[in-house]
Amino acid sequence: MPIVIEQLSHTYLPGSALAYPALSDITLTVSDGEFLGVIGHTGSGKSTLIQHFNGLLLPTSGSVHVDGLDTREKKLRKQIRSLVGMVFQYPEYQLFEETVERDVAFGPKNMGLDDAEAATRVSEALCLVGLDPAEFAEKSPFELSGGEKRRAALAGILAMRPKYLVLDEPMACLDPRGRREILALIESLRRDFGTGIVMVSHSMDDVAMYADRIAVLDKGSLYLVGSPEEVFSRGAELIEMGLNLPQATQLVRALRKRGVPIEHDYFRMDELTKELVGRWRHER
Amino acid sequence: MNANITLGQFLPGDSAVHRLDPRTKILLMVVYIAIVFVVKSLTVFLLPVVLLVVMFAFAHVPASYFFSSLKPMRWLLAFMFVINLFATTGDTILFQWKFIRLTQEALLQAAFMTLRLILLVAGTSILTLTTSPIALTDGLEKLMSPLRKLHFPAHELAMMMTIALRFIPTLMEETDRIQKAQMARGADFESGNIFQRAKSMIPVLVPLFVSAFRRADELAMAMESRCYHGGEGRTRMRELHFHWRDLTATLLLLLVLAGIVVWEKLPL
Repeated sequence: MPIVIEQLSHTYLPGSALAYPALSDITLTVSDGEFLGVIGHTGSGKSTLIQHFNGLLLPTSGSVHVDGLDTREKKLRKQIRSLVGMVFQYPEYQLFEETVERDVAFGPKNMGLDDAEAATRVSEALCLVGLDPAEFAEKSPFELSGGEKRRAALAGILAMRPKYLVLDEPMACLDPRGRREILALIESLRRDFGTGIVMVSHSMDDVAMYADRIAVLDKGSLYLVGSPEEVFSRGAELIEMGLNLPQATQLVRALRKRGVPIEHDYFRMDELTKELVGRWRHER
Repeated sequence: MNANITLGQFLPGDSAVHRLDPRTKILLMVVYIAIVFVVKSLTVFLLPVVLLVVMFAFAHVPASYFFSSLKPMRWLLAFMFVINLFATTGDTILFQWKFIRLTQEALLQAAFMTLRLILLVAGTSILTLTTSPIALTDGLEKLMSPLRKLHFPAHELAMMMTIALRFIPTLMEETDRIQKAQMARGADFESGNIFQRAKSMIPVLVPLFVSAFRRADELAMAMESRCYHGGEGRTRMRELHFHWRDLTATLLLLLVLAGIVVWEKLPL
């Protein structure tokens, strides 16, 4: 069953002088095992939107249902939060326990799992993120490196075995290798466990590469939802919104300007590379 | 999360009160507090009440801010009222039931003390509502600077206050974020008894402290790399100047104080 968002509007501090409408009339569905990319300019409401996925924020009007469970029902909230894992920006800043093991176990313990089950989940999650439990379990989370901290924090959420994973810029401030590792992890979660992914990103290349569908937010409204082809074929509108095009699409445009006839609108670098290499071979 | 707290919140504007020199406003606040404490009878209380209304009007502060400045104090106010109601002795009994006794004197005293506290809180909130934190600490630094002769660290104290004020919203935001991140991992801050709730704050407090220290480090580094070396020989971008309006306001308030003292002494 999917996450269904219907006519969601959210206003911060409603009824006061500081009332600020952050989202208006958003209708969106995230299917099982789908990878939804969310893009939008700073202040377009991305963070507000994703906090509705597990009931951290509640709709001012409209509704959000996770597998049929209404996020407004207080009794269901714990269940919803174990279904939808939420990775905030810079998740490493939420580490607090004395050891990595205990920190990762925080979520499973809150779900009411016993120690044995929690321990299984911890080592499973640490393996998933590429931290060897034998080496890292007993370390203090504060003595890890930046990239390791982030992966430990991610493990803390994966240990809850969420059916959906919502990520707010999970690659921000990571070096290229860190980025690749996190992206590979997200991809493998989807492939091996069928986890549905919602990822907010400023990197057009990442969403172009991995997302099945892309939601474009602009000034608190859902401007457009569609496949990467559909979204990135509307380049002018995206640039108008302060967004950009994937590097591959930019390269295609630049090449066309120079008179290289490329018929297809590429948006993934790997596909474009294949095309260009093929062309080059053909010409030789 | 705590956006409804008015205490210590600045409301930007360009009213007569906003344009007063911060030093004037701090000193006038002292006079105002003196006025509120000098008043000993309920009838004379009319004067500071009128004064408060006039101040709110001149500052262009909506009346809603008056109520929201009192909101965080509501339990203290209620507590004060009840304590004074039953702890004051008197002869004119209005109501008696078993050991509970309500006298007219006590009722007056309770109303009196509560009103005094309301006037204090609402009056001082005008200072913070109309003075930006920067101006406020600038004013304090200037006022305290004569004490430097006695090796009192006026500049350092003012700088610490500026930084503390600057970081309140940042840390509030951070708390909110960390709290949400832990809630997403199933943390529960709302149920359980007081000890369980205090314990449930650990996952928020530890990261909050870690980040506060990190921010302090970064700020110190940023200040040093811009050659900050304390207040010695430091000039400022905006010098404070007294204007005629500062004099007018001071005279007006002193007049009210004098009026109240005289009124109190007169047999009415």
